[in-house]
Amino acid sequence: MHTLSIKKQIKGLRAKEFSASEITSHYLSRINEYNPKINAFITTHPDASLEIANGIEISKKSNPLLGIPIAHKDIFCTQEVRTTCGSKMLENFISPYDATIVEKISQAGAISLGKTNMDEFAMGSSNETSFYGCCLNPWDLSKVPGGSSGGSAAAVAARLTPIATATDNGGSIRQPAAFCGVTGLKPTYGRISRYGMIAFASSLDQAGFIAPSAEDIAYFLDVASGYDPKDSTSLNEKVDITTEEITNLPKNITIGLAESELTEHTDPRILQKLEDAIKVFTSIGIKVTTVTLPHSKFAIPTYYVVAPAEASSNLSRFDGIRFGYQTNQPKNINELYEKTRSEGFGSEVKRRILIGTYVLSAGYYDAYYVKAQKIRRLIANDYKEAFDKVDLILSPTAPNLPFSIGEKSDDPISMYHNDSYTVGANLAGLPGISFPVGFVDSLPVGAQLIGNHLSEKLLLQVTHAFQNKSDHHLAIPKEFEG
Amino acid sequence: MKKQDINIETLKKLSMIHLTEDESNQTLDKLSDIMEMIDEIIEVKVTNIKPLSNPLDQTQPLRLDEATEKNQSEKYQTNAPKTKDGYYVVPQVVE
Repeated sequence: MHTLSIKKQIKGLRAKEFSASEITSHYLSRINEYNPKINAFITTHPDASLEIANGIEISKKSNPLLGIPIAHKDIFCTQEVRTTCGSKMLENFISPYDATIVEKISQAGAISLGKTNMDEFAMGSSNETSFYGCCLNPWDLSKVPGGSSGGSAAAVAARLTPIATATDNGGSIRQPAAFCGVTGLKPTYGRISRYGMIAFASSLDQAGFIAPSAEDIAYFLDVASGYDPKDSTSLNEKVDITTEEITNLPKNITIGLAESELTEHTDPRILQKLEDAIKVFTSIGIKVTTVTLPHSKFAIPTYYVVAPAEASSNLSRFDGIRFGYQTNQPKNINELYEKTRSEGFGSEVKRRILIGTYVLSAGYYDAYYVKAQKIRRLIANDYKEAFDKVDLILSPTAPNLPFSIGEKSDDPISMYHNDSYTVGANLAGLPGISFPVGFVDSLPVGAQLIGNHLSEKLLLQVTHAFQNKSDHHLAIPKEFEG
Repeated sequence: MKKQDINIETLKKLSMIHLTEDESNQTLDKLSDIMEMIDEIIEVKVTNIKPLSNPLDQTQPLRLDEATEKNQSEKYQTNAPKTKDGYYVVPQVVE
């Protein structure tokens, strides 16, 4: 069952080839067998999952997602199941409410299998900052799965779930999807409500999905999207994509290959895979040209002003008083705050809070924060100009292959540059998708397409057309085939 | 950005994070490197460019000033480390 697409799983459930209980049990037993190898889940709740599955009766009129299993990134609040956000700070936190995305998916009848591992508070590109131990890459257990949604990507790659929710603040859906050989969609900013998604940087955070294929994601995107009065930045726009429409590739599509200085810092073997992908696109009638994004080289420094600034503000809520970890026997209120935050946060989180505090502090606010917000507009303008000429922009997802655990953990700047190709879409609020384009040294390589605001339908159509002509997204790591 | 330009003690105080001396020194080294990378933005010309804070340039929609949630304080306080009689308990702040 785990090799079936979501489309085939829906068909199988409706044809009574298997029941919701059977498919849920199948994935739970895979989690039981394989999760100890990769640590993709922080929390599972098999009894609750099965109880829901056992109560499901599927008919031809049922919602298509009824009985389909899913895993949720542990950044999304879930009632009755703890939400840790990968942090010691929230080790025992039980949310009083469900995140809107969780609620919508649950109402559509999908069955939660558990909560996936992630970098602490989504701050990381390797999953190594998780308080619950690093998740490992199913393609090579000595390598990182990427981050911050590494658990979601690894769980999908190992087929421990057919799909997983994830979040993307600077590349946190797309980079782990690339590292794990699966497909990851970061929708337009505001497309999916952020209510109940633990905040990192509110002007960049966006929920999305990781699954083997674009078609799998299309089934869930429409359900999860839409305006939510509880998130004033959510958009009142439906995705307007049906899974039938995904096969309709529009005519006269032009993709622009992003030309920038970033190419010089990219593994040439990844660039070769991108060339191979371009051949596939041209073979299906898509025109490929080049575009320039002059300010893309400033995207990383700009992001590392904006994101930590917003994080330092958002994470001030963790004071050890209302919820979360609290230090023992503080002498006074200041010691309560300082020691709680020192003991409850990991080093990367503390580092980013300190950077954010610095760029927002008196004397530096204009030089760093305001200036970064102005460069953010220049970066967004570059994309606007590019979309006057092309429909989508193509690039590698990451400049390097999945790296070894520990290789970059003491070198934050090298780690930050993993997101060189992805942060621009977050700064400009654009949708982006990463999809597998082959392997180098038995490790997956991903390519990224970025579209204009609200162009998810086109992104899914083009990626689906590519995946109809390739089989990289169907590959399962050998150790997890059984 | 040179190390001496970053006052780590002020940053610790502003962000309410306790660090030991060793941790402070290590953090300062890393912060200095990161700020040097961030300083690349200095060369960018931004004359007459407006800051972009919401990527879609949205303005906040207004709504009626009405309570939309019921009072669930008891439920919310189950997550608090210490409460008493519906209040959050903190160390004494007034002598």
